[in-house]
Amino acid sequence: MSAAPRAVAGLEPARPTLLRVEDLVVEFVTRDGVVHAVNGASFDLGPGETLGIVGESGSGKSVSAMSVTGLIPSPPARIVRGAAYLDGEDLLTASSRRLRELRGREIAVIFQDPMTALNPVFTIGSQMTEAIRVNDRAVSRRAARDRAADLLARVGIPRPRERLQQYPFELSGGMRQRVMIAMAIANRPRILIADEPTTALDVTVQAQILDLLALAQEELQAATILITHDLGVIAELADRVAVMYAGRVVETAAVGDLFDHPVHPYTEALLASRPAAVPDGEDMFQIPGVPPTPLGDLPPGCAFAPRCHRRDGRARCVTESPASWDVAPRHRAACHFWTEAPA
Amino acid sequence: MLRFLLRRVTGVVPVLIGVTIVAFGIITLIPGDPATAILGPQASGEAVASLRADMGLDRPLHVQYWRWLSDALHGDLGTSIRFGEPVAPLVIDRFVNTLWLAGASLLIATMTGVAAGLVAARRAGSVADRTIMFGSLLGNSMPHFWLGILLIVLFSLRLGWLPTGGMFSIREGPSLSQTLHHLILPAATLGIIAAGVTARLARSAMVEVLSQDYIRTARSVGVREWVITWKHALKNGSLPIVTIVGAQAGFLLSGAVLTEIVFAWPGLGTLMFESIKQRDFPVVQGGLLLVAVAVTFVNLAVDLIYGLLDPRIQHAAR
Amino acid sequence: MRPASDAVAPVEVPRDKTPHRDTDPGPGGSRSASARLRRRVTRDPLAAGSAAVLLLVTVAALLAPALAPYDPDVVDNSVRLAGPSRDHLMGTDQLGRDILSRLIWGGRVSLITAVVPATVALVAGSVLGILAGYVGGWVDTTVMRVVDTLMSFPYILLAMGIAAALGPGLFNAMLAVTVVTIPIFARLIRAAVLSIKESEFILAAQGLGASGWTTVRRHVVPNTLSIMVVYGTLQTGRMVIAAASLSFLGLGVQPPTADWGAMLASGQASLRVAPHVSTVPGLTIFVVTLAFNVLGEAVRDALDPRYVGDLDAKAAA
Repeated sequence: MSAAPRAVAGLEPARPTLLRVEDLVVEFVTRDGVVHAVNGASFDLGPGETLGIVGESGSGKSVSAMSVTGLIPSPPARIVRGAAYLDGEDLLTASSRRLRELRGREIAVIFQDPMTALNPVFTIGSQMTEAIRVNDRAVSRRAARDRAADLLARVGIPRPRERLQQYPFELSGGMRQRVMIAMAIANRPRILIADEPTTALDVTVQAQILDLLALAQEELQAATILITHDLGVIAELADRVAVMYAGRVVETAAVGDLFDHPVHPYTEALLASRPAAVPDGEDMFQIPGVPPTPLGDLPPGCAFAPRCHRRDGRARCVTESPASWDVAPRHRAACHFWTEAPA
Repeated sequence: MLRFLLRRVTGVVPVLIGVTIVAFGIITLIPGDPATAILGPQASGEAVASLRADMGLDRPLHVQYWRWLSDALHGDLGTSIRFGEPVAPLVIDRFVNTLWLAGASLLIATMTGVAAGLVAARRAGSVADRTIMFGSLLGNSMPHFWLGILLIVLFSLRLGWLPTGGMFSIREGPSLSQTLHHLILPAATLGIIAAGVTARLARSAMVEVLSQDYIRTARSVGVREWVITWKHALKNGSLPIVTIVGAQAGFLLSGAVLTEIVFAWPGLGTLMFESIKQRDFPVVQGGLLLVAVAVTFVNLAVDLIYGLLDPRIQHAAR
Repeated sequence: MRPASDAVAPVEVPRDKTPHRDTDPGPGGSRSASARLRRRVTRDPLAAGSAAVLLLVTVAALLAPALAPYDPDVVDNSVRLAGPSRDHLMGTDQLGRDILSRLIWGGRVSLITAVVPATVALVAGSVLGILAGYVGGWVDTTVMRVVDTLMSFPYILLAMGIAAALGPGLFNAMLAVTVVTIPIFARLIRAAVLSIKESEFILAAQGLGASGWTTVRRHVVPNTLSIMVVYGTLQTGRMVIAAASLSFLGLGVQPPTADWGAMLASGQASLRVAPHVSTVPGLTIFVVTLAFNVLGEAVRDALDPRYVGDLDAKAAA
């Protein structure tokens, strides 16, 4: 991995991209001050590919992905700058009406907590048929119900017709998540955003849902943004990965490259802190320190500097914010000293 | 569903019994002898004894209670000492007038309160929100009798637009239009104060609902904002709002008493007040009973409607 | 080359769903509840104003003999129904008595008839509520049936009935108001205890405390206390009105003792020529009640709003 680095951030051979997010900066204005949730994140999504966005809680991964949907309440959120191009259209400046048109039809979201994501006072059937008919006026109520039943069957829910009449509280968490996935794929969107889709589920159910997601994605050929803190989920489903820390993307790579040849110190540390990375009997590795709080002004320089094992006391890390370097084909990392990464 | 209904209804019975005990029992609080209290200390021993026999006061308490209760169940609430007329029709008649007032006020309070609460919830944190909430705080803190007097001074005495009190003007005689005309100020008084409470509770219910995940899901699927507010949020918010509106019943009746007195509105409140002052105990007992029973049934109705609206409640009751 | 999907430990603790404790610093960093309250009262003009009003009323009530410009009972027929003037800052009533002085003296009665019943009812109601909520079972059912029964009667009507039966006077009025308010607190505190009980048991089940019961007791009581303070303050405002209502109806302190409600009532006869006789005492009642309500809300916001907020719908009274 010692191909000649190009010092210019961002330039690489052109590939078809479906969604390109550039230099996104989002802040939240709260009673206690300004929260800098996203501080210049850039990533892109190719058609049909699964991009995993991984990071700790507070890293800005949810906000970055969700800001293209217009679902982040604004106030208190504020998009300070940045662009998100879908088919040449900048979603961040699109009208709320336009975003609403896109939602459901082009971009669908699968949320984290299936227990609260469905409206408790409406039946599954009515919620699904609404999801279908809102995006295609031409569909009759009966046709929508048929389609809903078919979708439920395809996501692996037995006796789908019965389920349509039931209320969310009558279904288990795993089933509800299946319903959410069914609703998301109902209109064959081009982009799926899955926000921690298995975090709130039992471990036994997680695997099933992941398989289902993979299946759905394959069938639709939809591009997927998979937001998670779980490296195992990334390993299983993602084609490419963007690692976020303190509101910035610190490394982007194909999933194999990321696991085998991590360049950014944070990625290295993440991989090292997996239980599997440590031989039996030895203590687990923990990244020392805590992530910076997003509340209040950001210190200059690299956000990871206080905890970085590569820094070695060098001043540049705290005075200058690192650019995003092309360290290999389709592999970028934001570190001043990326050349020092282990081969 | 049936079991749920049954359980709710049977739960009400002990409360009703308790209500009859309290309504009847108020008399027992009177220090000394009720008959003497009515006739005064100058009354002769005979007069007192005869009145006591009339009132059934010479029997033990639980017998009195039982007689009173069984009569009441047959619709006989005794005879008014002041008017010499049967209590039941008197009390019911006045209660209807109070219902006019309470009903009109409830309408005003609910419409303005819920609308204000909804607007405030949708714009939570904005200037509009804070203004509405401050207004509701003001309304909440006003004494009924003061607001009533203020409105009288302004709209009756200074501007002469509306009457100062009563249910109809002597010249015109009773009629629907007279009633409505005279209803405006008292209903506004009660309604404004009740709207204050309603707006607050409606807002917090709606804020709660609007922050739920399923609202976000509906948005993510492409549902329009106004459908989200009026279909998704409202149906979930209707549950607590129904509770709020129902809870207003007791509050409204309480406020109605004072409002009636200020506006000389011939309702149950003024009747109770006069009867209390004049020691007309059968009327007091009958009136208390009627009101409390009415409130209990309103609460029951609210519970049942709540159960109907929320499928989870029915399910859990099984 | 993809690595085997090991059972990976997440890099952080999954989103914490347990409700806040009162030990949690809450938004705004590590500030204690009393510090937040102090901050609110000094910064927010409304809260500051309310605190000032209540302070003023209390001081005026205490110093009434020294502060009042006139003897509140002195009748002077030469200045009946006079409007505000330099001699009489708030004018005089139908017997020529100085309204300002009567307001100041009346403040004593109003404060006592609000604060004392509020405190007594709060204590009694809380005991009942804690008992019902904590012990549960038939104790709970019995207490709540009694509470429901009493609350089926309109507040004022019941107070009127009791006050009238017992006879006029300050003490009987206070007693009536107390009795009628106890069920309100009982229901509120019970609801609070129930919701605390639920969440505490979850924690206990997760093995946080050695003895589940001790942990519960150590958490139930402080949280209940904070709710008691909030609703105690809020209810005191309503009791100012309740007491004034009773004296408005002639059921409280008897004339000639100055009392805001009674002043309002007697001023009704002169509404056309001298509305201030009624409207000024009414305004005072309004302002004092408003002050209690504002402070009650400030206290509520200062404490962790999560527990207290849920009770609003149940507290509709």
